[in-house]
Amino acid sequence: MIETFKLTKKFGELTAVDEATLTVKEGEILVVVGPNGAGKSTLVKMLCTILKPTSGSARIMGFDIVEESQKVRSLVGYLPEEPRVYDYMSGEEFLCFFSDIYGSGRERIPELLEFVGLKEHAKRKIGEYSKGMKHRISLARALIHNPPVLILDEPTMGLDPASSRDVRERIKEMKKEGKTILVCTHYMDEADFLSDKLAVINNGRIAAVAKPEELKAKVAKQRYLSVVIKEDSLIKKFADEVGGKVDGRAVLVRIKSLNGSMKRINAAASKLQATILSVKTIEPSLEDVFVAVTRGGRWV
Amino acid sequence: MGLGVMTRWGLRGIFSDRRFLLSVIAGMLISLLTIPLLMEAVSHFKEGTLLSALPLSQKMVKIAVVGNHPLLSELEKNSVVEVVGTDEATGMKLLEEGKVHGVFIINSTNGSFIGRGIPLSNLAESAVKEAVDSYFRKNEKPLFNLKQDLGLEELLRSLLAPFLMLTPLFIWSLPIIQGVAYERENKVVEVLLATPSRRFEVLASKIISNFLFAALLGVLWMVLVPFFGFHFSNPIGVYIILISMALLVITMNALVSSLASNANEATLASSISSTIIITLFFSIAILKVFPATEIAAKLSPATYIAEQVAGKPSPFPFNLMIVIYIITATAFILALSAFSTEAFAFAIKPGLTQLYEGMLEILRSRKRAAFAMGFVAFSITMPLEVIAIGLIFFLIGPVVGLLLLSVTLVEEGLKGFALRILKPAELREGALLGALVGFAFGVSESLLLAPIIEFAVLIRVAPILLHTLCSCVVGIGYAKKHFLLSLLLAVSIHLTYNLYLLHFWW
Repeated sequence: MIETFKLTKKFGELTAVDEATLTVKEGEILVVVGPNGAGKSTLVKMLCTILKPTSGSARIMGFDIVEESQKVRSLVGYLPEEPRVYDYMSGEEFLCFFSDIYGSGRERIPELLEFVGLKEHAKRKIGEYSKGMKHRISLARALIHNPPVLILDEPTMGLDPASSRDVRERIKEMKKEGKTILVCTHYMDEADFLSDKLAVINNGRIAAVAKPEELKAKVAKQRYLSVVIKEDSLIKKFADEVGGKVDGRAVLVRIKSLNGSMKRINAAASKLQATILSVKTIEPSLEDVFVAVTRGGRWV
Repeated sequence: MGLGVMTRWGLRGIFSDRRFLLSVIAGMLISLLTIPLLMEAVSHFKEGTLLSALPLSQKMVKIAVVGNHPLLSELEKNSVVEVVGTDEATGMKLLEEGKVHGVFIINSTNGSFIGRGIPLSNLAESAVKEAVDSYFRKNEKPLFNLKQDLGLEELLRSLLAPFLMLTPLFIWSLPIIQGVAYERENKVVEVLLATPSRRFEVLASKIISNFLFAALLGVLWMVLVPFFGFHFSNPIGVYIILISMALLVITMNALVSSLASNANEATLASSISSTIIITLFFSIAILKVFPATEIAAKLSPATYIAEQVAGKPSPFPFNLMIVIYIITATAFILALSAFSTEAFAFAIKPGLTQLYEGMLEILRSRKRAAFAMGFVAFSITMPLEVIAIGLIFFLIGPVVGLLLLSVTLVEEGLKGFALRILKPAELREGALLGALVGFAFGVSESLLLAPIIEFAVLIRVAPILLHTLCSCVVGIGYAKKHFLLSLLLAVSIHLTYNLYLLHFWW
C-alpha cells in the first residue's frame, strides 16, 4: 500500500510536486498521467527514496519514506524512465548483481528471464541488446527481490508497439500476483489499459484522482455531436449557424440537451439546404479527460 | 553485505574490461623501460648546484671548521656561508649554544659534519657538500671519502626515482572515474541508490575495488622494478607508501568524479588533481634544502623513496602515512558529501553549498558538520601552505615574518571560509560552530605535528585552544555581520602567538 499526504518537493524556487495526496491500495494499479515536466518523475523518485521531500509525508507498506528509507527500498521495485543498465554485463550477470545486493538469492533469475522473454539472450552482453530488451531486463531487475510494491516510471517509453504491449501485459500479470503498482505515463491508451485508478498531475499538483470511468463520466457532460454534411462548401456557414466548430470534414456541436441540439442542426440544414450525411455522438476518451483536467486546473 | 557484494562486482567489472587491462600493462611496461634510460641521462648532469640557484645573498649560515684541507677554500667562496676556524671542543660548544649552524671536522682523508637539530643546519650541510662536490670537479682524483653524487645530480636522481615509481598511479586510479562519473552520466547510479544499500556503501565499494586492483598491480610493479634498476632496502615500506598514495589518488578521483558533470570532465579533472597531488608531494621534497621546511620534507613520499633507492636504511615514515590518510579521509568525506546530494542523483553539478548539504545529510547535525569542516579545512591547508611557503621562498626569500603571515592567513582564511558555508545566524551559534571548526582544525594539526616535532601532546593544548579561540571570534563576527573585521582580529591573534612561539623557540 502506498499513501502520500501533502507530499511536496521544491528545487529552489520551483515547486516540482505540490502537496500530492494519493492512496494506492494493495493489489491496485494507480496510473499517474501528466504532461512533460508535470512532476511525475519527482514524485516517483521521492517514493523510491532517491529524493527527500521538502514537506509532507509518504508511507509504503506502513514504512515512512524518510525515517525508514532503507526498509522502503527493500520493499519497492523501481523501474526508471530509461533503462539503467551496465552494458559490459550479460543479462544474467546483471540480475545476479542485483540479487546479490538485495540478498534475495538467485533462484528467481531463470523464471524472471522467461517472464521478460530474454531467456535465450541471457548470456549476451546488455550492450548488444535492443532498447526494448534493455527495458525488459530492467523490468526483471526491478522484480528481482520479489517486491510487494512496484513503481514504474514511463515503462513503455520509446518502445515499439509489440514491446509496449508485452510490458503492459507483464504489468497486468503482476497485478494478478497481488502487487501494488504505481505507473507514471503520458500514454493515454496505456493508462486506459492498466489503471484501476487514475491520477492526473499538472504543474506539480494532483488535479484529479478517480476511477477512469468516473473521470470519463465527468467529461461526458461536455459531449459533442459530430455532423457531416454533403456540401463541403457550406461547412463553415453550417458551423456558424449551429454555433459549432469545424473539425476536418465534420462540424462539432456541443450537446447542451440532445433534443435541443438536434433541433438546431435540422433547422440549420433546412435553412442552408444542406444534406446531413451522418450525426454521431463523440464518447470521451482518457485523452479528453487529460485535456479537460490539465486545461481546467484542479478537479478532484 | 552491500559493501562486500558491490566491491566484488566492482573488481569483476574492472577485470572484465580487457582493453583497459592491456593498456594498464602496456603503460607499466613503458614506465619500466624509461627507468634505466632516465637514470642514465641524469648521471650526465654535472653542471650547476642547487644551493647556487637559491636566491640567498647574505652570510646567514655559520660553520665552525676544525682542521685544514684545500677544499675549505671552496666553502669560503660560498656567499651565504661564514667559516669560523676553531678546535673540536670549542666548535661543539658553539654548536650547542646555537652560535654556529654546523661543525665541519676535516683532515686529509676524512670529513664529518655535525649539525642536525639546529635551525639552518640543513643549509650548512648542503654548503659543505657543495664545497666537496666543487672540489672534486676541479681535482679529478677522489681523495676524499664523502659522497660525490651531490647537488643537482642528487636532486634529479632523488626526484626522478620516486616520480618514476609513482607514475603508474595515474592509470591505476582510472576505474573509479568509470565507477562514479560514468555511472552518474548514464544514471545507473539511480537504480543503485534505490536498493537498500547506503550511499556510503555504494561509494566506498567503488573506492575499495579500485584500491584492491591498484594493490594487486602494486605487487606486480614492486616485483618488476628491481629488474630495471631500482633496489630498495625496505621494499615492503615502499609498497605501503605506494599503495597509500594510490588510495589517496583514487579517493581524490572519486571526489572530482562526484563533482564533474560527465565522465569526460571527470577524466580531465582527475588528471589535473592527480598531477597536483604528486607535484605537491614532490615540491615538499624539494623544500628539503630549506631548514625551515625540513620537517615538511619528511612528509614527502619522494623523500622516502629517494632514500630507499639510494640504499639508505631510513626509518618508515609514519608521519607521512598520517598526512596521506588525513587527506584521503578528507577527500572521502567531501566525495561522500557530493555523492549524497540530490544534485548528484540528478546529474547536476554540485556547488559548495550542496557539498555542505551533502555533509549535513551524512552527519545529520550542524555541529558535527562544523567539526568535519574544521578537519577538511586543515587538510586543504597543508597543500596551500606548501604553495605559499614555496612562492615566498622563491620570489622573495626566506623572510620569516612573511612566511608566518602567509601560514596564518591560509589557516584563518580557510577556517573562515568554512564558517561562511556554515552561515551561523546568531551570536551563540556563531561562537559554537566557530569553536568546533577551530577545535577540529587544532586537533588535526596536533595529530599530525606532535609526532614530527616530538613535542609532548600537552604542549599542543595551547595551539588547539588558539585555533578554537580564533575561529570562535570569526564565528561571532559572521553572525554579527562583521566577518572581515573578525577575520582580521583572528589573524592578528594567531600571528602574535606564532611570533611569540618563534621567539621562544629560537
